[in-house]
Amino acid sequence: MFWHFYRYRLLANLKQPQLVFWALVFPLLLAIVFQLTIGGIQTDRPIHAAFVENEAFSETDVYSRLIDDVNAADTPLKLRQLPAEEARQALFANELDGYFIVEADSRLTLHVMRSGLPQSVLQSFGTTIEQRRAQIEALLEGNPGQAARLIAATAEEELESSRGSEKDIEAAERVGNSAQTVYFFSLFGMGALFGASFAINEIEALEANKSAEGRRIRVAPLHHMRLIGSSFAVVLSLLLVCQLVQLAFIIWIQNLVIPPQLVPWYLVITLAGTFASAAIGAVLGVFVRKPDLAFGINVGLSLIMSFFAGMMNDQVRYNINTHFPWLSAINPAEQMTDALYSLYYYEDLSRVGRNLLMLVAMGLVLGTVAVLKLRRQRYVHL
Amino acid sequence: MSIFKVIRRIIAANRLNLGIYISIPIIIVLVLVGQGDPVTTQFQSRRQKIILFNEDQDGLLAAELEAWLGERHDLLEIADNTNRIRDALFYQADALIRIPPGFSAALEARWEAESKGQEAAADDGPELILELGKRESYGPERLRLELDNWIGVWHTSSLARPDASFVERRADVAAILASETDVQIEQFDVKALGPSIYLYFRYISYGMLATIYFMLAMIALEFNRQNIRLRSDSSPVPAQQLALRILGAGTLSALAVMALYAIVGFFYYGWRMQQVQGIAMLLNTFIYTIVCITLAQLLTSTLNSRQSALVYGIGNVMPLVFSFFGGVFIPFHFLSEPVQRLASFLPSYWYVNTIDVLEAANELDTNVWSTVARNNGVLLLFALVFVLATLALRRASRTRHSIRSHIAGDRLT
Repeated sequence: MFWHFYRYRLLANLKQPQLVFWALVFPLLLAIVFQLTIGGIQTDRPIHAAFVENEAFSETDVYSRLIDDVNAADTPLKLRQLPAEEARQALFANELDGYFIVEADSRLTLHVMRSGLPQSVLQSFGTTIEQRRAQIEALLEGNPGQAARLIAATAEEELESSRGSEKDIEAAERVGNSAQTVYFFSLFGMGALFGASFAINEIEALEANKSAEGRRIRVAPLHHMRLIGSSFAVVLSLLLVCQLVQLAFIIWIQNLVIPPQLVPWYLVITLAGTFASAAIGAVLGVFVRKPDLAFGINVGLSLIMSFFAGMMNDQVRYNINTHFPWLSAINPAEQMTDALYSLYYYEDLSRVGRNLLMLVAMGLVLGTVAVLKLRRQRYVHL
Repeated sequence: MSIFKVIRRIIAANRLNLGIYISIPIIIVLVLVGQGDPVTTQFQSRRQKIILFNEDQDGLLAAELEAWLGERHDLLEIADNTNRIRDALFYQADALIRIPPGFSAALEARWEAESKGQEAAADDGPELILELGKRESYGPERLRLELDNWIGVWHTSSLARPDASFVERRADVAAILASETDVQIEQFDVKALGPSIYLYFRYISYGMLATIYFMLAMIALEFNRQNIRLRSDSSPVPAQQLALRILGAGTLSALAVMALYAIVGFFYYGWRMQQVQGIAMLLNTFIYTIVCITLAQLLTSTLNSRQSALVYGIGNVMPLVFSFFGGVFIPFHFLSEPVQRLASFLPSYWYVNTIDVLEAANELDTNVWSTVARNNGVLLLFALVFVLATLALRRASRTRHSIRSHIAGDRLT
């Protein structure tokens, strides 16, 4: 009887397009939208700047050599030389982030349109040139012979310090250029929560005061717990399939490279998230009398929890984690996002373990509450 | 008047859904941006967010470096815990700098050896550890540049005056580091409003489209229910008049949504809303509201009561697609070229483009106004196309409806 009921409920759920839409199609559509928009984001846009060709600039070849050296180096700075009016026009047209004017006393003045990070980088660049120039000029005044030796020595020192700086950056390197992938992980969490609609639908079918089907089932000589178990198995199967399709789609669309030994972990995270979501749906279905309202609350909750998990802005996720850790702890979308983030970026299994524990605990607590409520349901008349 | 009462009841019955869509953009903007963006005409150097661990507690150079970094940047207080550091480097910090124990002593010893003409060993002491964050690519580059410069200035100073005390060298270095490149902001001819108001106007386009669509869809679902429709058909009020009344009531409700956003904007941004850019954006929003109303009318004109699932699907997907592709959530220049081309077929693109133009304008000249006028004209064209399409759909639907009624009438007789 268990499998008979399972088969019928499976078909009944599959024949409701709105359920499949929310649990599967909507997250996939969003994943495509994400890929088309944030997938192609280029955060390493070069900083464009110019040196104005004036008398002080042309007096020496220092600046033109500097432009060549900087352009040849692997830095985000792209420099050129332009006449004053052209530089100003290029700045207004947003083709330049700023331009330098070499003043008569060799000081640099930077002209920008706004305060921002590219402009601050340019200021640091100009300041570096000026400070080193000032120091070398002071040395030249005192002891020209020593100055040449010092310039060579400090140039070598800069190289050394840069090399030292790059020693320990593996953690950041591992992150690579895929920082946007975390958005897809929160989308995956949202998909699981939307899938809770299956559970709401199942509760509607089980409860005699919510549907004709429920009335028919309740008067049938069947063990109630077996029906509940069968319904729960239907929800888990459907959600699991939807989630696995979503995960596979995210891996494919984002071109993620997942080491084979970690694949089981991804599956376990999917299963735990599925379990927690099914339990959330069951609780909503049991405690909210009107199924439509339960669906509405589920959609609203899913959106809010995904927002807190960083789906619309990753800073929200970080701020919630930092300032309201309890809110993150009880947010299944965040727990799923965090598990995938820890696994994909850092392969940190202990953190994944904690996330899994939270998801399973949520599923157990909410699932137990739903089952207890269902078990004790009595009707005065049907 | 009775139509208004009915519509008020429909809206009241769906207040939870509508409330969510109205409040989401307001909450996002207020939480993320707030009104705290000061309007200045002075250049302000961006302060990087740095996690600094100074493990060289007794080192004088380390203390100098910490103080110097603290003056120029924001030093984050993060527990020296792997998870915290990872999250901070991923989401918040530009870099982590770890000054290892013995750093100062090793540098001093190396420079002293150099000043005596001795060869410094290749690996003669601990070096700074710099871990780069993921926030922005320029931040770490800038830090690297500044750190190299700081070490270079100290190095040169130490070699130039090997016999000077640390205090004397510190004074030399401080004098050098005090000089910075002057930065001049090319003066704006218009009063800058700060970025958050522009963000507010971008985000409300999402909320407006979602809310207006849901509101008009709920109204359409109710009035297109078969029993209500039969009753309307048999009532003495002409069908066209009834349709106009429903349309008018729906339009007024949609305009009320826009007015609500405008009121929140006035409350929150005060004088900024009364500047010429603020008024231009309000006008732009008003025109976009008309587009939202006409689009919603088009999409809901043939709905029947069994299509509530479709309403939820469209109502959630469409505003997100419009917002993502139109540059609401992500600055438009980040999007790839094919997406940008595709986006120009969406009204949200023209709405956001007006906001972008007003934000980027250094003077409100004829170029700016002609672009704003062009964008608003394109939006009105969108509205016109939607109206024509709605009329065509309604006409087709009415013809089908009258044929069905005719057949039913024949059967009765």
